[in-house]
Amino acid sequence: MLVTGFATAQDDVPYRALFFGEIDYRQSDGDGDDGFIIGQAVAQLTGNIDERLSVMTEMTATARQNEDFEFEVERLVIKYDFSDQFKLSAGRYHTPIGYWNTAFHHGSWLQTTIARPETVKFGSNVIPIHFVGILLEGKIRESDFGYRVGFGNGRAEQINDPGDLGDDNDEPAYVGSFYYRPLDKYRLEAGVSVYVDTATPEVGPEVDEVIFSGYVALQGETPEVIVEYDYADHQRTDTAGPDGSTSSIYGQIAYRLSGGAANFKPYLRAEHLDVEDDDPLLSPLVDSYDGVTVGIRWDFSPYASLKAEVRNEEFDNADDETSFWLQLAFVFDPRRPLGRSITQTGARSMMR
Amino acid sequence: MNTASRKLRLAAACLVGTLAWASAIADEPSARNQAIAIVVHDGTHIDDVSIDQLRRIFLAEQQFWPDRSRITLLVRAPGAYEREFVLERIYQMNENQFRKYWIAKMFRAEVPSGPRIVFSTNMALELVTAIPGSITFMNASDVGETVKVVRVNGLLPSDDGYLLK
Repeated sequence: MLVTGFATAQDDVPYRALFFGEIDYRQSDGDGDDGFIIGQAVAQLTGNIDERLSVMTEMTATARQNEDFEFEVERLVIKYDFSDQFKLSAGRYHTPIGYWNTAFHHGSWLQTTIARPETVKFGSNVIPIHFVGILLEGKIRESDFGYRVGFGNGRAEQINDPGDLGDDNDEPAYVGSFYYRPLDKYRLEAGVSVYVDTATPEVGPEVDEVIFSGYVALQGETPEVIVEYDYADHQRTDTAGPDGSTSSIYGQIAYRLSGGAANFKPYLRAEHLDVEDDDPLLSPLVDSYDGVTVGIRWDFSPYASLKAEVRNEEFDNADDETSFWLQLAFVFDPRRPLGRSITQTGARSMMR
Repeated sequence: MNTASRKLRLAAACLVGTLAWASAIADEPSARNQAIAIVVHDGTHIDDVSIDQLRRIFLAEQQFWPDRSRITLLVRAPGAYEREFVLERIYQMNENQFRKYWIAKMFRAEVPSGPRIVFSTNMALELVTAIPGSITFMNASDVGETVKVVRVNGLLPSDDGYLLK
């Protein structure tokens, strides 16, 4: 679950909360259990310490088969805003590579589809999903361009972890991204990013890793378009074997219908993930993949949606799979500020 | 006698209700014909904004004034004509898109919070008077002396060619 907050003047509590949650249903011709699935529950809290200093924490509870729920701190960020151009923070982030990883991540209600693209799915090894370190971000002057640059621990020995307790190999990771977000009604955003690290995996050789990513997204809904490309180059540091790379691309299009059907949004996504056999970092861990997803989203409430989708997936080293999914996704605001009356007395007491 | 009295009171109540309703209906068109003024705290060192800068501020793409003080955004609650106007003309979004925009903005940690919601013009006036760096919008005829109206693209609400009419 993730809960949202519109501040009201009545209760000027210096924190905001968002809870996101989902309940899924799966029916598949492949391996794995069918039936209802408790999706990830997410709680995000953001608080202002003073006018410029803020903290944000995001925690998740994830169901696991035959085990207790797994609780994890997904993000923990303390940020100081010097200005719109310079905002300095430290903590644990969603790595600013590409679009999906920072735009939606755990917020299932925010994303149109049920599933995330294979490249950025939970536990993905393809790109480092999380990043522990420091980040400087902001706008470039007063333009529509922005940037993020940072450095941190990089991948841990288990390469889908970010090294929460220090850098496993004392080789810091660097990340930089640059985006363009004009003020048009289609809400265009386009960006490029680069990530550089040396990964020392639990199994396999040490690898110098460089990831390039580019994306274009129309965030309005008539239409909604997302295209993202990622390329990861992996070179062994010992030069004792071949180098290799992994690339992935997905394209998603959706369209919010009009009139009496305005609560419905059909969508389509195609994706391709190519892991070279010689890729020293990812070929032991990740299959090449092709997938097509078709579905429809019904926003039956401003804060909840029901999605239905069919996926056809082809894995390099496994049988093809076709599955049908349903998802009930919501965002919850415990303060319900928009549905509550407010008195002038309350406003005055807030101003004191 | 009691029945006649009850009927009389009922008729009077209906008359008063009808007059109140008619008065509200009569007021609505004039409210909707008003220009929307952009109003800031009196101590804000800004007199003129471009329409692009205004969009940037209301979308929280700009969160600080040029003097580096933080901007506090005050937005009317759903149902107010002024909110509908601003969503259409400045945000270029409908109500659902507006809510989702702010939830996404908070989720991305691009803002520490959403806009502060105000439930009346008086409340907007009180808060924009009290909170340094605040900005809001209201019918031009409702603007008080304790706040500052900023020009939009060099024009005031009373000027010909003002964009927020």
